[in-house]
Amino acid sequence: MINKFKIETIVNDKKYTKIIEPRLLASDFIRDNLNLTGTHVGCEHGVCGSCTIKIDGVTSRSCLKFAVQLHGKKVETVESLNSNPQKKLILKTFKKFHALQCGFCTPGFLITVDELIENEKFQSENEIRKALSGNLCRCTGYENIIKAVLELIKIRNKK
Amino acid sequence: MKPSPFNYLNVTTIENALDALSSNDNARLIAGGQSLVPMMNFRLAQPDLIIDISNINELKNVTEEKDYVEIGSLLTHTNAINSICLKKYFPVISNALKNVAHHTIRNQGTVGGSIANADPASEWPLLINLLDCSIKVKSKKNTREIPATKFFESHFVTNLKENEIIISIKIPKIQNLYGWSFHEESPREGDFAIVETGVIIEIENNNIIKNANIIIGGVDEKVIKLNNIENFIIGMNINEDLCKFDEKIVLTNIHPISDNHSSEEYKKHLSIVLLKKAINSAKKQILSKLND
Ligand SMILES: Cc1cc2nc3c(=O)[nH]c(=O)nc-3n(C[C@H](O)[C@H](O)[C@H](O)COP(=O)(O)OP(=O)(O)OC[C@H]3O[C@@H](n4cnc5c(N)ncnc54)[C@H](O)[C@@H]3O)c2cc1C
Repeated sequence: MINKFKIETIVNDKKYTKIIEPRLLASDFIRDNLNLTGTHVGCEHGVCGSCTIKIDGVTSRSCLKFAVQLHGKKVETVESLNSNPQKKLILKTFKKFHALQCGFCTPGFLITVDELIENEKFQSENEIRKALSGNLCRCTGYENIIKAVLELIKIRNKK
Repeated sequence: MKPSPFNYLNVTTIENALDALSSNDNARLIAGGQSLVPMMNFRLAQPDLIIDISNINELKNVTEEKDYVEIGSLLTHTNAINSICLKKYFPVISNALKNVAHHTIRNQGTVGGSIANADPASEWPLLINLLDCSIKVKSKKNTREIPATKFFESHFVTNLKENEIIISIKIPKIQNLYGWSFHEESPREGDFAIVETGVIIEIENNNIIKNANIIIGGVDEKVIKLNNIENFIIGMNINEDLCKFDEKIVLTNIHPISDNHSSEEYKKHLSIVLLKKAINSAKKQILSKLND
Protein backbone atom coordinates (compact mmCIF):
# COMPACT_ATOMS: atom_id res chain seq x y z
CA MET A 1 0.00 0.00 0.00
CA ILE A 2 1.40 3.35 -1.05
CA ASN A 3 0.39 6.25 1.16
CA LYS A 4 -0.46 9.59 -0.33
CA PHE A 5 0.84 12.77 1.21
CA LYS A 6 -0.68 16.17 1.76
CA ILE A 7 1.99 18.77 1.09
CA GLU A 8 2.10 22.50 1.59
CA THR A 9 4.60 24.46 -0.41
CA ILE A 10 5.11 28.07 -1.42
CA VAL A 11 5.81 28.42 -5.12
CA ASN A 12 6.57 31.89 -6.48
CA ASP A 13 5.13 33.42 -3.28
CA LYS A 14 1.86 31.55 -3.61
CA LYS A 15 0.85 28.83 -1.18
CA TYR A 16 -0.32 25.51 -2.59
CA THR A 17 -1.79 22.52 -0.74
CA LYS A 18 -1.90 19.29 -2.78
CA ILE A 19 -2.33 15.58 -2.21
CA ILE A 20 0.27 13.56 -4.09
CA GLU A 21 2.02 10.20 -4.38
CA PRO A 22 5.66 10.06 -3.18
CA ARG A 23 6.97 8.95 -6.58
CA LEU A 24 5.79 12.16 -8.28
CA LEU A 25 8.85 14.10 -9.42
CA ALA A 26 8.98 17.78 -8.47
CA SER A 27 9.29 18.64 -12.18
CA ASP A 28 6.02 16.85 -13.04
CA PHE A 29 4.31 18.31 -9.97
CA ILE A 30 5.20 21.84 -11.03
CA ARG A 31 4.07 21.33 -14.61
CA ASP A 32 1.04 19.04 -14.22
CA ASN A 33 -0.32 19.80 -10.75
CA LEU A 34 0.48 23.51 -10.56
CA ASN A 35 0.21 24.24 -14.29
CA LEU A 36 3.49 26.16 -14.20
CA THR A 37 4.70 24.89 -17.55
CA GLY A 38 7.67 27.26 -17.82
CA THR A 39 9.80 24.58 -16.17
CA HIS A 40 10.80 22.16 -18.94
CA VAL A 41 11.52 18.46 -18.67
CA GLY A 42 14.43 17.19 -20.74
CA CYS A 43 16.66 14.30 -19.76
CA GLU A 44 15.15 13.39 -16.36
CA HIS A 45 18.51 12.38 -14.94
CA GLY A 46 20.11 15.66 -14.00
CA VAL A 47 22.26 16.21 -17.06
CA CYS A 48 20.50 18.76 -19.29
CA GLY A 49 19.50 21.47 -16.80
CA SER A 50 16.14 22.40 -18.42
CA CYS A 51 14.15 21.67 -15.26
CA THR A 52 16.29 23.79 -12.92
CA ILE A 53 14.35 25.58 -10.15
CA LYS A 54 15.29 27.15 -6.82
CA ILE A 55 14.45 25.46 -3.53
CA ASP A 56 14.94 27.63 -0.44
CA GLY A 57 17.05 30.01 -2.50
CA VAL A 58 19.48 27.56 -4.14
CA THR A 59 19.21 25.94 -7.54
CA SER A 60 18.25 22.31 -7.88
CA ARG A 61 17.26 19.98 -10.69
CA SER A 62 13.52 19.48 -10.22
CA CYS A 63 13.76 16.07 -11.93
CA LEU A 64 16.02 14.88 -9.09
CA LYS A 65 13.66 15.87 -6.26
CA PHE A 66 10.32 14.38 -5.34
CA ALA A 67 7.32 16.68 -4.95
CA VAL A 68 6.86 15.35 -1.41
CA GLN A 69 10.27 16.85 -0.56
CA LEU A 70 8.96 20.33 -1.36
CA HIS A 71 6.72 20.23 1.74
CA GLY A 72 7.49 23.27 3.87
CA LYS A 73 9.93 24.69 1.30
CA LYS A 74 9.97 27.85 -0.75
CA VAL A 75 10.21 27.23 -4.48
CA GLU A 76 10.98 29.63 -7.31
CA THR A 77 10.39 28.71 -10.93
CA VAL A 78 11.15 30.64 -14.11
CA GLU A 79 7.73 32.33 -13.83
CA SER A 80 8.98 34.17 -10.72
CA LEU A 81 11.42 36.21 -12.82
CA ASN A 82 8.56 37.97 -14.56
CA SER A 83 7.04 39.41 -11.39
CA ASN A 84 10.15 41.14 -10.09
CA PRO A 85 11.44 44.25 -11.96
CA GLN A 86 15.04 43.54 -11.04
CA LYS A 87 14.83 39.94 -12.24
CA LYS A 88 12.92 40.96 -15.34
CA LEU A 89 16.20 42.49 -16.46
CA ILE A 90 17.51 38.95 -17.01
CA LEU A 91 14.66 38.30 -19.46
CA LYS A 92 15.18 41.62 -21.22
CA THR A 93 18.92 41.07 -21.56
CA PHE A 94 18.43 37.58 -22.98
CA LYS A 95 16.07 39.13 -25.52
CA LYS A 96 18.49 41.94 -26.35
CA PHE A 97 21.33 39.53 -27.12
CA HIS A 98 19.13 36.96 -28.83
CA ALA A 99 20.27 34.48 -26.20
CA LEU A 100 17.66 31.93 -27.17
CA GLN A 101 16.38 30.26 -30.27
CA CYS A 102 13.86 27.44 -29.78
CA GLY A 103 13.51 28.27 -26.08
CA PHE A 104 13.48 24.74 -24.72
CA CYS A 105 16.57 25.12 -22.53
CA THR A 106 15.90 28.79 -21.72
CA PRO A 107 13.98 28.42 -18.41
CA GLY A 108 16.86 26.38 -16.96
CA PHE A 109 19.41 28.90 -18.15
CA LEU A 110 17.40 31.81 -16.72
CA ILE A 111 17.14 30.31 -13.23
CA THR A 112 20.82 29.33 -13.27
CA VAL A 113 21.81 32.84 -14.38
CA ASP A 114 19.61 34.32 -11.64
CA GLU A 115 21.70 32.42 -9.08
CA LEU A 116 24.97 33.32 -10.84
CA ILE A 117 24.45 37.05 -10.78
CA GLU A 118 23.39 36.97 -7.13
CA ASN A 119 26.80 35.50 -6.34
CA GLU A 120 29.73 37.95 -6.42
CA LYS A 121 32.13 35.05 -7.01
CA PHE A 122 31.24 34.83 -10.68
CA GLN A 123 33.02 37.57 -12.63
CA SER A 124 35.08 36.43 -15.57
CA GLU A 125 33.92 34.93 -18.86
CA ASN A 126 35.72 31.72 -18.01
CA GLU A 127 33.90 31.40 -14.68
CA ILE A 128 30.59 32.01 -16.40
CA ARG A 129 31.28 29.42 -19.09
CA LYS A 130 32.13 26.88 -16.39
CA ALA A 131 29.09 27.76 -14.32
CA LEU A 132 26.78 27.37 -17.32
CA SER A 133 28.32 24.09 -18.44
CA GLY A 134 25.55 22.24 -16.60
CA ASN A 135 22.90 23.56 -18.98
CA LEU A 136 22.67 22.15 -22.48
CA CYS A 137 21.48 24.18 -25.47
CA ARG A 138 21.05 22.29 -28.75
CA CYS A 139 20.51 25.32 -30.99
CA THR A 140 24.17 26.09 -30.17
CA GLY A 141 23.29 29.49 -28.81
CA TYR A 142 25.98 29.53 -26.15
CA GLU A 143 27.88 32.58 -27.47
CA ASN A 144 24.88 34.86 -27.20
CA ILE A 145 23.96 33.46 -23.80
CA ILE A 146 27.48 34.25 -22.53
CA LYS A 147 27.24 37.77 -23.97
CA ALA A 148 23.95 38.35 -22.16
CA VAL A 149 25.33 37.11 -18.85
CA LEU A 150 28.47 39.25 -19.18
CA GLU A 151 26.23 42.28 -19.67
CA LEU A 152 24.18 41.33 -16.59
CA ILE A 153 27.36 41.00 -14.55
CA LYS A 154 28.50 44.41 -15.76
CA ILE A 155 25.20 45.97 -14.68
CA ARG A 156 25.38 44.21 -11.31
CA ASN A 157 28.95 45.37 -10.68
CA LYS A 158 27.97 49.00 -11.32
CA LYS A 159 25.41 48.91 -8.50
CA MET B 1 11.70 7.61 -16.96
CA LYS B 2 9.51 7.70 -13.86
CA PRO B 3 10.38 5.93 -10.61
CA SER B 4 8.34 2.92 -9.52
CA PRO B 5 6.00 3.42 -6.53
CA PHE B 6 7.51 3.70 -3.05
CA ASN B 7 6.59 4.91 0.40
CA TYR B 8 8.23 7.96 1.87
CA LEU B 9 9.34 8.90 5.35
CA ASN B 10 10.85 12.24 6.32
CA VAL B 11 13.04 12.03 9.44
CA THR B 12 14.69 14.84 11.39
CA THR B 13 16.82 12.82 13.83
CA ILE B 14 19.47 10.13 13.38
CA GLU B 15 17.56 7.86 15.80
CA ASN B 16 14.39 7.97 13.70
CA ALA B 17 16.39 7.26 10.56
CA LEU B 18 18.07 4.24 12.19
CA ASP B 19 14.72 2.92 13.49
CA ALA B 20 13.18 3.12 10.04
CA LEU B 21 16.22 1.58 8.37
CA SER B 22 16.33 -1.41 10.73
CA SER B 23 12.60 -2.15 10.59
CA ASN B 24 12.08 -2.11 6.81
CA ASP B 25 13.37 -4.35 4.06
CA ASN B 26 14.38 -2.72 0.80
CA ALA B 27 14.57 0.78 2.30
CA ARG B 28 16.98 3.40 0.94
CA LEU B 29 18.24 6.61 2.49
CA ILE B 30 18.08 9.74 0.38
CA ALA B 31 20.50 12.63 0.97
CA GLY B 32 20.94 14.94 -2.02
CA GLY B 33 19.31 12.48 -4.39
CA GLN B 34 21.81 13.34 -7.12
CA SER B 35 22.85 9.72 -7.67
CA LEU B 36 19.87 7.84 -6.27
CA VAL B 37 17.08 9.66 -8.13
CA PRO B 38 18.66 9.18 -11.59
CA MET B 39 18.93 5.47 -10.73
CA MET B 40 15.27 5.44 -9.63
CA ASN B 41 14.17 7.32 -12.75
CA PHE B 42 15.88 4.65 -14.84
CA ARG B 43 14.39 2.02 -12.47
CA LEU B 44 17.84 0.65 -11.77
CA ALA B 45 16.89 1.19 -8.12
CA GLN B 46 13.38 0.31 -6.94
CA PRO B 47 13.24 0.78 -3.18
CA ASP B 48 9.97 0.15 -1.29
CA LEU B 49 10.69 2.91 1.18
CA ILE B 50 12.64 6.14 0.86
CA ILE B 51 13.92 7.52 4.15
CA ASP B 52 14.65 11.21 3.65
CA ILE B 53 17.59 12.23 5.85
CA SER B 54 18.17 15.55 4.08
CA ASN B 55 16.47 17.50 6.89
CA ILE B 56 18.66 16.16 9.74
CA ASN B 57 20.42 19.42 10.58
CA GLU B 58 22.96 17.93 13.00
CA LEU B 59 24.60 16.13 10.06
CA LYS B 60 25.44 19.35 8.20
CA ASN B 61 28.21 20.78 10.40
CA VAL B 62 31.94 21.32 10.05
CA THR B 63 33.63 21.06 13.49
CA GLU B 64 37.26 21.77 14.22
CA GLU B 65 39.00 19.76 16.95
CA LYS B 66 42.65 19.93 18.03
CA ASP B 67 43.96 17.18 15.74
CA TYR B 68 41.22 16.82 13.17
CA VAL B 69 38.27 18.41 11.41
CA GLU B 70 34.99 16.51 11.42
CA ILE B 71 32.43 17.02 8.68
CA GLY B 72 28.82 15.82 8.81
CA SER B 73 27.73 13.39 6.12
CA LEU B 74 25.11 15.84 4.79
CA LEU B 75 27.63 18.57 4.02
CA THR B 76 26.95 19.52 0.39
CA HIS B 77 29.73 19.82 -2.18
CA THR B 78 29.01 23.57 -2.40
CA ASN B 79 29.25 24.07 1.38
CA ALA B 80 32.45 22.04 1.50
CA ILE B 81 33.96 24.24 -1.25
CA ASN B 82 32.96 27.39 0.67
CA SER B 83 34.00 26.19 4.16
CA ILE B 84 36.67 28.52 5.55
CA CYS B 85 37.89 25.83 7.95
CA LEU B 86 38.32 23.22 5.19
CA LYS B 87 40.04 25.76 2.95
CA LYS B 88 42.46 26.61 5.73
CA TYR B 89 43.57 23.06 6.57
CA PHE B 90 42.80 21.13 3.37
CA PRO B 91 42.78 23.39 0.32
CA VAL B 92 42.87 20.28 -1.88
CA ILE B 93 39.21 19.63 -1.02
CA SER B 94 37.75 22.72 -2.68
CA ASN B 95 40.22 22.37 -5.53
CA ALA B 96 39.05 18.81 -6.25
CA LEU B 97 35.34 19.35 -5.62
CA LYS B 98 35.10 22.08 -8.23
CA ASN B 99 35.35 19.18 -10.68
CA VAL B 100 32.23 17.49 -9.32
CA ALA B 101 29.43 17.99 -11.85
CA HIS B 102 27.98 21.51 -12.09
CA HIS B 103 27.14 23.98 -9.41
CA THR B 104 23.42 23.10 -9.30
CA ILE B 105 24.32 19.44 -8.65
CA ARG B 106 26.96 20.53 -6.11
CA ASN B 107 24.29 22.55 -4.27
CA GLN B 108 22.40 19.33 -3.49
CA GLY B 109 24.90 16.43 -3.54
CA THR B 110 26.55 15.47 -0.24
CA VAL B 111 29.80 13.90 0.92
CA GLY B 112 27.95 11.01 2.62
CA GLY B 113 25.98 10.19 -0.53
CA SER B 114 29.08 10.43 -2.64
CA ILE B 115 31.11 7.97 -0.58
CA ALA B 116 28.17 5.59 0.00
CA ASN B 117 27.75 5.57 -3.77
CA ALA B 118 31.49 4.77 -4.16
CA ASP B 119 31.97 5.54 -7.82
CA PRO B 120 35.68 4.83 -8.46
CA ALA B 121 35.97 7.97 -10.64
CA SER B 122 34.41 10.28 -8.03
CA GLU B 123 36.32 13.04 -6.29
CA TRP B 124 35.26 12.47 -2.66
CA PRO B 125 36.41 8.81 -2.50
CA LEU B 126 39.82 9.95 -3.77
CA LEU B 127 39.98 12.76 -1.18
CA ILE B 128 38.97 10.38 1.64
CA ASN B 129 41.96 8.19 0.79
CA LEU B 130 44.32 11.08 0.10
CA LEU B 131 43.60 12.69 3.47
CA ASP B 132 43.63 9.43 5.49
CA CYS B 133 40.11 10.05 6.73
CA SER B 134 38.02 7.76 8.87
CA ILE B 135 34.33 7.31 8.38
CA LYS B 136 32.04 7.25 11.40
CA VAL B 137 28.98 5.06 10.88
CA LYS B 138 26.14 4.13 13.17
CA SER B 139 23.56 1.37 13.43
CA LYS B 140 20.88 1.05 16.12
CA LYS B 141 23.21 -0.93 18.37
CA ASN B 142 26.70 0.07 17.34
CA THR B 143 28.96 2.95 16.31
CA ARG B 144 32.21 2.28 14.47
CA GLU B 145 34.92 4.17 12.65
CA ILE B 146 36.12 2.73 9.35
CA PRO B 147 39.53 3.77 7.98
CA ALA B 148 39.53 5.00 4.37
CA THR B 149 41.54 2.00 3.17
CA LYS B 150 38.84 -0.42 4.45
CA PHE B 151 35.76 1.59 3.44
CA PHE B 152 35.79 1.25 -0.34
CA GLU B 153 35.60 -2.34 -1.59
CA SER B 154 34.66 -2.31 -5.27
CA HIS B 155 32.58 -0.50 -7.93
CA PHE B 156 29.69 0.97 -5.92
CA VAL B 157 30.44 -1.40 -3.01
CA THR B 158 31.52 -0.26 0.44
CA ASN B 159 32.04 -1.75 3.87
CA LEU B 160 28.80 -0.11 5.04
CA LYS B 161 26.14 -2.54 6.33
CA GLU B 162 22.49 -2.27 5.30
CA ASN B 163 21.40 -0.99 8.71
CA GLU B 164 24.17 1.62 9.04
CA ILE B 165 24.19 5.34 8.33
CA ILE B 166 27.27 7.43 7.64
CA ILE B 167 27.36 10.08 10.37
CA SER B 168 30.56 11.99 9.71
CA ILE B 169 34.07 11.98 8.30
CA LYS B 170 37.12 12.78 10.39
CA ILE B 171 39.99 14.43 8.54
CA PRO B 172 43.26 14.45 10.49
CA LYS B 173 45.27 17.70 10.37
CA ILE B 174 48.65 17.36 8.69
CA GLN B 175 51.45 18.19 11.12
CA ASN B 176 54.47 18.54 8.81
CA LEU B 177 55.14 21.05 6.06
CA TYR B 178 53.39 19.62 3.01
CA GLY B 179 52.46 20.12 -0.62
CA TRP B 180 49.27 18.93 -2.30
CA SER B 181 47.83 18.61 -5.75
CA PHE B 182 44.82 17.25 -7.57
CA HIS B 183 44.54 16.72 -11.33
CA GLU B 184 41.85 15.13 -13.44
CA GLU B 185 40.99 14.75 -17.07
CA SER B 186 37.35 14.51 -18.12
CA PRO B 187 35.61 14.64 -21.52
CA ARG B 188 33.81 17.90 -20.69
CA GLU B 189 33.65 20.34 -17.80
CA GLY B 190 31.66 18.67 -14.99
CA ASP B 191 31.75 15.15 -16.41
CA PHE B 192 33.06 12.25 -14.36
CA ALA B 193 36.85 11.94 -14.56
CA ILE B 194 38.50 9.55 -17.00
CA VAL B 195 41.49 9.53 -14.66
CA GLU B 196 41.96 11.55 -11.44
CA THR B 197 45.06 11.82 -9.27
CA GLY B 198 45.79 13.36 -5.87
CA VAL B 199 49.13 13.75 -4.14
CA ILE B 200 50.22 14.88 -0.68
CA ILE B 201 53.91 15.03 0.15
CA GLU B 202 55.11 15.87 3.69
CA ILE B 203 58.70 16.82 4.50
CA GLU B 204 60.83 17.08 7.64
CA ASN B 205 63.17 19.91 8.66
CA ASN B 206 66.05 18.57 6.58
CA ASN B 207 63.93 18.58 3.37
CA ILE B 208 63.62 14.80 3.43
CA ILE B 209 60.26 13.37 2.41
CA LYS B 210 58.70 11.85 5.49
CA ASN B 211 55.34 10.79 4.18
CA ALA B 212 53.56 10.59 0.84
CA ASN B 213 50.01 9.79 -0.22
CA ILE B 214 49.58 9.10 -3.90
CA ILE B 215 46.07 8.18 -5.04
CA ILE B 216 44.58 7.48 -8.45
CA GLY B 217 40.92 7.04 -9.46
CA GLY B 218 38.93 5.98 -12.52
CA VAL B 219 41.32 3.17 -13.46
CA ASP B 220 40.20 0.27 -11.29
CA GLU B 221 37.24 -1.11 -9.34
CA LYS B 222 38.00 1.42 -6.59
CA VAL B 223 40.30 4.35 -5.93
CA ILE B 224 43.88 3.00 -5.70
CA LYS B 225 46.62 3.99 -3.26
CA LEU B 226 49.97 3.60 -5.02
CA ASN B 227 52.05 2.32 -2.10
CA ASN B 228 54.99 1.44 -4.35
CA ILE B 229 55.39 4.97 -5.65
CA GLU B 230 54.91 6.36 -2.15
CA ASN B 231 57.68 4.12 -0.83
CA PHE B 232 59.88 5.12 -3.76
CA ILE B 233 59.78 8.81 -2.88
CA ILE B 234 59.73 8.55 0.94
CA GLY B 235 63.25 9.26 2.17
CA MET B 236 64.22 11.23 -0.93
CA ASN B 237 65.30 14.86 -0.74
CA ILE B 238 62.54 17.12 -2.08
CA ASN B 239 65.03 18.62 -4.57
CA GLU B 240 65.62 15.26 -6.27
CA ASP B 241 63.74 14.09 -9.38
CA LEU B 242 60.72 12.35 -7.81
CA CYS B 243 59.38 10.97 -11.08
CA LYS B 244 62.22 8.58 -11.92
CA PHE B 245 60.14 5.60 -10.80
CA ASP B 246 59.63 2.62 -13.08
CA GLU B 247 56.31 3.23 -14.90
CA LYS B 248 55.61 -0.50 -14.85
CA ILE B 249 55.03 -0.29 -11.09
CA VAL B 250 52.08 1.98 -11.74
CA LEU B 251 50.71 -0.15 -14.55
CA THR B 252 50.75 -3.38 -12.53
CA ASN B 253 48.71 -1.70 -9.80
CA ILE B 254 45.86 -0.37 -11.95
CA HIS B 255 43.34 -2.19 -14.15
CA PRO B 256 41.56 0.29 -16.42
CA ILE B 257 39.02 -0.95 -18.94
CA SER B 258 38.04 0.54 -22.30
CA ASP B 259 34.74 2.39 -22.46
CA ASN B 260 33.06 4.80 -24.84
CA HIS B 261 35.19 7.71 -23.62
CA SER B 262 38.64 6.17 -23.94
CA SER B 263 40.62 3.01 -24.45
CA GLU B 264 42.52 1.06 -21.84
CA GLU B 265 45.79 2.17 -23.48
CA TYR B 266 44.83 5.83 -23.30
CA LYS B 267 43.86 5.53 -19.63
CA LYS B 268 47.22 3.93 -18.84
CA HIS B 269 49.06 6.68 -20.68
CA LEU B 270 46.97 9.34 -18.96
CA SER B 271 47.61 7.75 -15.55
CA ILE B 272 51.36 8.15 -15.93
CA VAL B 273 51.10 11.69 -17.30
CA LEU B 274 48.74 12.87 -14.56
CA LEU B 275 50.70 11.17 -11.79
CA LYS B 276 53.94 12.88 -12.78
CA LYS B 277 52.15 16.19 -13.16
CA ALA B 278 50.57 15.77 -9.71
CA ILE B 279 53.81 14.76 -7.99
CA ASN B 280 55.68 17.66 -9.58
CA SER B 281 53.07 20.23 -8.67
CA ALA B 282 53.04 19.06 -5.02
CA LYS B 283 56.83 19.30 -5.05
CA LYS B 284 56.77 22.79 -6.57
CA GLN B 285 54.41 23.91 -3.85
CA ILE B 286 56.75 22.66 -1.13
CA LEU B 287 59.71 24.41 -2.76
CA SER B 288 57.83 27.70 -2.89
CA LYS B 289 56.74 27.30 0.75
CA LEU B 290 60.40 26.69 1.68
CA ASN B 291 61.43 29.88 -0.13
CA ASP B 292 58.81 32.00 1.67
C1 LIG C 1 24.73 15.29 -14.00
C2 LIG C 1 25.52 14.75 -12.82
C3 LIG C 1 26.90 14.78 -12.86
C4 LIG C 1 27.64 14.30 -11.80
N1 LIG C 1 29.01 14.36 -11.87
C5 LIG C 1 29.75 13.95 -10.82
C6 LIG C 1 31.17 14.04 -10.83
O1 LIG C 1 31.78 14.51 -11.80
N2 LIG C 1 31.84 13.59 -9.75
C7 LIG C 1 31.19 13.08 -8.65
O2 LIG C 1 31.84 12.70 -7.68
N3 LIG C 1 29.87 12.99 -8.60
C8 LIG C 1 29.12 13.41 -9.66
N4 LIG C 1 27.75 13.32 -9.58
C9 LIG C 1 27.12 12.68 -8.38
C10 LIG C 1 26.99 13.66 -7.23
O3 LIG C 1 28.25 14.01 -6.73
C11 LIG C 1 26.14 13.12 -6.08
O4 LIG C 1 25.88 14.20 -5.28
C12 LIG C 1 26.76 12.07 -5.18
O5 LIG C 1 27.28 11.00 -5.89
C13 LIG C 1 25.70 11.47 -4.27
O6 LIG C 1 25.37 12.33 -3.22
P1 LIG C 1 23.87 12.57 -2.81
O7 LIG C 1 23.89 13.29 -1.52
O8 LIG C 1 23.13 13.18 -3.91
O9 LIG C 1 23.38 11.06 -2.53
P2 LIG C 1 22.02 10.31 -2.86
O10 LIG C 1 21.79 10.27 -4.32
O11 LIG C 1 20.93 10.84 -2.01
O12 LIG C 1 22.40 8.86 -2.36
C14 LIG C 1 23.36 8.04 -3.00
C15 LIG C 1 23.50 6.72 -2.27
O13 LIG C 1 24.10 6.94 -0.99
C16 LIG C 1 23.25 6.47 0.06
N5 LIG C 1 23.43 7.43 1.17
C17 LIG C 1 23.27 8.78 1.10
N6 LIG C 1 23.58 9.34 2.29
C18 LIG C 1 23.95 8.33 3.12
C19 LIG C 1 24.39 8.29 4.48
N7 LIG C 1 24.53 9.39 5.24
N8 LIG C 1 24.68 7.07 5.01
C20 LIG C 1 24.56 5.95 4.27
N9 LIG C 1 24.15 5.93 2.99
C21 LIG C 1 23.85 7.12 2.40
C22 LIG C 1 21.87 6.42 -0.54
O14 LIG C 1 21.04 5.48 0.12
C23 LIG C 1 22.16 6.04 -1.97
O15 LIG C 1 22.33 4.67 -2.07
C24 LIG C 1 26.98 13.77 -10.65
C25 LIG C 1 25.58 13.74 -10.60
C26 LIG C 1 24.84 14.23 -11.68
C27 LIG C 1 23.34 14.18 -11.61
